Amino acid sequence: MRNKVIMSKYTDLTTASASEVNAKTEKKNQITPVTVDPSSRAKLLAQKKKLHKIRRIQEWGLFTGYLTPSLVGVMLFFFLPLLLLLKTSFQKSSTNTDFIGLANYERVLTNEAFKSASINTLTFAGLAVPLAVLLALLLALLLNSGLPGKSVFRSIILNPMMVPVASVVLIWQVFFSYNGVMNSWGLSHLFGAEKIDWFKSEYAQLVILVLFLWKNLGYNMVLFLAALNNIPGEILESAMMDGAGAFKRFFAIKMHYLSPTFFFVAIMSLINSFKVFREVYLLSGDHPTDKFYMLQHFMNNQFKKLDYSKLSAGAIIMCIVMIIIVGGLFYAESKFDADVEE
Amino acid sequence: MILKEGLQMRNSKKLVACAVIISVTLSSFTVAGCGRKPRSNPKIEADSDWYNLDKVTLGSDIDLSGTQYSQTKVLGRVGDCYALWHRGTYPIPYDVDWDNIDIREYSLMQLDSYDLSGGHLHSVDYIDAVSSSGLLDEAAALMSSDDEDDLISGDDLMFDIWDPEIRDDKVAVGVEVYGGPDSDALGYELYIDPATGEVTYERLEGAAHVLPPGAEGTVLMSKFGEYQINEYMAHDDDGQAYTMIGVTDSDRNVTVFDLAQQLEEYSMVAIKGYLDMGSGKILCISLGEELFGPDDYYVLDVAYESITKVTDDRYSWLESVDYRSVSYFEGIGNVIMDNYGIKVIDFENSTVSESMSFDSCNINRSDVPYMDLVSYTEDEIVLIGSGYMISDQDASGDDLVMIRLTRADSNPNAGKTILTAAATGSINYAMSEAVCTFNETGSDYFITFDPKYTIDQYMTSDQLADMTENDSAIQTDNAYSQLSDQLAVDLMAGEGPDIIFDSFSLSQLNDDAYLTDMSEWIDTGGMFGNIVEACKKDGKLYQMPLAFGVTGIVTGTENVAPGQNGFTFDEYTDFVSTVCNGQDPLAMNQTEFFIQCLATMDDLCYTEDGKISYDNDAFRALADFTSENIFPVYDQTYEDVMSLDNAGGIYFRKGSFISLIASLRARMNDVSILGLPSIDGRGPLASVECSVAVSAQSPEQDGCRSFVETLLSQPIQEYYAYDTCYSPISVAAFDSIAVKIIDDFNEDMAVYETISSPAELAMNGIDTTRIDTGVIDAYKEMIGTICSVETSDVARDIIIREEIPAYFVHQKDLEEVIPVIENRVQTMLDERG
Repeated sequence: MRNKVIMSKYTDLTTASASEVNAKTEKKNQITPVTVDPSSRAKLLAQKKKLHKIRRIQEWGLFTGYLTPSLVGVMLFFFLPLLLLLKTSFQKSSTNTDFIGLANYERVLTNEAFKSASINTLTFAGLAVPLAVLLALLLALLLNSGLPGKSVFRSIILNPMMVPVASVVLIWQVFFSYNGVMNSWGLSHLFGAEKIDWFKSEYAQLVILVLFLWKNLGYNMVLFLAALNNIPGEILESAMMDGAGAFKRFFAIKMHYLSPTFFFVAIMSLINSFKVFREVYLLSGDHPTDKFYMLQHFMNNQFKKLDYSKLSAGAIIMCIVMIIIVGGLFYAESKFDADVEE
Repeated sequence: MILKEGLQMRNSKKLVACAVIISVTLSSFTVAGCGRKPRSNPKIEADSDWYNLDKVTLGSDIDLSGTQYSQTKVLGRVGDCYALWHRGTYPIPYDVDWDNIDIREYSLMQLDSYDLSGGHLHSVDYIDAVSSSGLLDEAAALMSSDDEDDLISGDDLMFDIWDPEIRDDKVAVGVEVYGGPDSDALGYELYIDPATGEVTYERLEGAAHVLPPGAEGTVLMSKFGEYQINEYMAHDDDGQAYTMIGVTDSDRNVTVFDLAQQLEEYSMVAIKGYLDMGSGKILCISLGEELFGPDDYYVLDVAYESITKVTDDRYSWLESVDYRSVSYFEGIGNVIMDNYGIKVIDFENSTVSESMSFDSCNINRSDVPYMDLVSYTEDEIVLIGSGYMISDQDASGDDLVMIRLTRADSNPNAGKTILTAAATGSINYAMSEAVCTFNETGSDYFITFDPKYTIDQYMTSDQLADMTENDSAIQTDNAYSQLSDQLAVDLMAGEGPDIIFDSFSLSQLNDDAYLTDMSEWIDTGGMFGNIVEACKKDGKLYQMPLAFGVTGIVTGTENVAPGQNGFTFDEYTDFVSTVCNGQDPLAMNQTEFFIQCLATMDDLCYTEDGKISYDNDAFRALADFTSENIFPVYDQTYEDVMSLDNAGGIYFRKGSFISLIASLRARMNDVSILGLPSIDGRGPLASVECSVAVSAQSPEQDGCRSFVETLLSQPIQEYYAYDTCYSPISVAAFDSIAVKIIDDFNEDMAVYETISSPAELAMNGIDTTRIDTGVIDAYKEMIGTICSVETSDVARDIIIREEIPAYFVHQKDLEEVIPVIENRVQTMLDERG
């Protein structure tokens, strides 16, 4: 404190000696009993409250200042379109704003094509998401187990991420078209089997599932690898010393540490599985066979037909389903986290 | 402290979250709940634009109906007159004395002038005018030498008359006089004052018609604004033909643009038109190098005598302009007319904007393309021309009319409710006449046209460019598919038109959500009832046929078995191999053949619950037949396909009684029309070319019904019958016009016999045998055998076009192809809901 006073820029060293300064300071620091007048006490309290209020406003301002850009962005580019979408789904058309209640939702929910698209999309997600998570986890564990050439493998598995969708589709067409590699040199050539029109047969979803995994496994694997590397080594070592086997260590320790990544990967894979339309559209166009017909085909075709009301109702329904699924995943995650903490 | 701050932050977050939730919920309820009042059609305001129509038949001293060939050119306004120029020939009897014939007696070159109200002022015969003006005598004097033996008179000379042009309130025409002893030609210019009929002339220093160096002949002359454009044909050093353009300004200065010389790379295909850009520049528009591709544009700078090809797309906004209708008016600029109104081309703002809508007058829009806009002011618009030719047989001098549109002080239709009509194709004469009649006679409703739903709006040159032959059908289908979707959405929203013309091929619209079921409105008595019945879907008549074409195969009666209406696949195989000598009259590729014949059997491809089903004998038999018997067509000439005697059978596609007479002539007496190959040998296929539908959302159903009744009335149905492409739905209208058509044909044959010797007729392959009226009953009997109507679903056809070729090239079995087509088509139909 003393040094602080000496170094203060307000101390005039030319006019006062060091001893004078010290005397003044000591006098100032002496505790003198004071009789507090009740009226001045109330004054002090009011001052304190005022200061507290100012501080809270400052904090609020700071908080709002940081939040506003993101909030404006979210409101402008997410809530506003969502709002317009909601509005359109209740009106007769984009040009006729007559309120028609749930008629558009009825149109969508009774539409055979929408039902078929929903089943296909959910089936695909039901297959693709678990596979994308589990296979990525297995790959990550494999690469994390001290496999030689780890970085090379990692690069190879990551490569599909860098290939544009159109090129991926081209590769798939080369392989799976009616006169493609699979039919010409694969099945029929090697085993004499009948040719399969992969994109128009029962196997259509299988083809797109393979494409989805090929394209997404690398990204998921990298996330798992990062999470695996963050698991404290000493915990694993002590568990090993306590006699826990690899299986026990994985489920009892690693899975607990991997759970946030696990859920994140699951959610990302779910979202990506709904976005697989790009690939399917490029492979089969507007109106593919029913096994290939995804929810976004329905949406895209309604958009092309300018039937925005039907499109909006479909989008809102899809949005609700997504919210339920993702909400379910978050709920499961919170439950899982609670178990871990216990 | 940290915990406390954390709590404070958490409270703030809660506050923001609450605010967002409240704002989203409240605003969504607000915006979703704010509906509009139910739609009601607007009424016409008294102060809206209206032009009174005055149609005057332009009389003439000459009878153009007596000519063998005639051409009328509207010269335009000359001072306070309008001038027309006729050129043609009268028929020369085949037994005329050819050694002493004066060919001028059989020539027609005449100027007619009219006052501003259309009253006839003067007819000046140019041949007489040249002879009587003293011009020939002066020329004879100039050509004669001092030698008395070489003295010639005006009667000894010959002359050519060039096309006239307006100059200084007179009509000027170049006259080339020749035939003198020195074989020299003298150039004169003859001036006629249309107001007085006075004829004067002036000797020119050179010839009357001077070709620029290198030019070999004038191809076309046109005048707009201050410029006259002459197109000359020329050949470059390699013998390639090209065009030279001569621009003559008002001071008679001629600027010649030698395109092959002045352009770095000459690639002009054909010139479509010119536009005056102002500042001494002219925009020349030519067909693009790519078939169906965008046009090419060239800027002619008259002052600098330069021509520049425009390499960017700065004039792409001119893409939709029909240059045949371009006129130029001082102070207004370039003006065009189309079915919907008069539009001004604005180079400054790069727009083609409507300056007058034909909804503001009662003009028949089909007349417009046959007329010239000769005067255009804010208060008066004048058009002169022949109007829409009802039929070639009726073309005569009396058809020349002047239509004056004069701005009215107030709209006499004020208070009428507006019904909006949309035509997917062009507005035909009968349709337009029905609208005019309805608007004129009705007291409650007024019909206007909305150009938004024409197929042209969906077919851009970008789409059509780079198109292979196989792609073109798919591209066209795509355009119709887009139009169908747009109409479906707008109709469901109550935003579409009240009345839709010619949308029969858009079968997607046949639904209660889009169109009104008219079956209760229509009494099919007196109509071709089987056609109306075939147009119904599930017993509902969404689109009323107004006129229809017939698609089938025409063959000699001797090739038709008793009771035969069409061909089974086996019968067709026999027919092609025997009667047609192995040459398929349908002459199309496998996919097109398949789609065409499938259309005949469309009713067999649905299950009872309305689902698509191609897994049936009809589809399989057609696919097998097509795969085995139809081959790509090469090197077939028009004669191979269209001559019944050569081909044995002719593919009659969307034809009518008139078109059948035009192509078969006397053979009409002994032919039959049979259906396309099908599994049950059914009769021909009807294709509804003209139809009317009413929006289910239109609040003015009574008005629409009243208009449909107008369309089905006898006079309007007769107008439909006159068209060469289809037959009317009314039997009475068909009968009356069919008789007239046969009478006209037989009269023409009588004229042929007058002007041609039997030897000439035989040499030209003209059979003057008269057509018996019995063919009318035979044609009606054939119509009675029609049980299916072509209801092509363009989106479905696209899928079939994509999938069925795999079977034809033996890549897939039918068992593989059918489920895929069925599956895709059903998904597409389901999606529509």
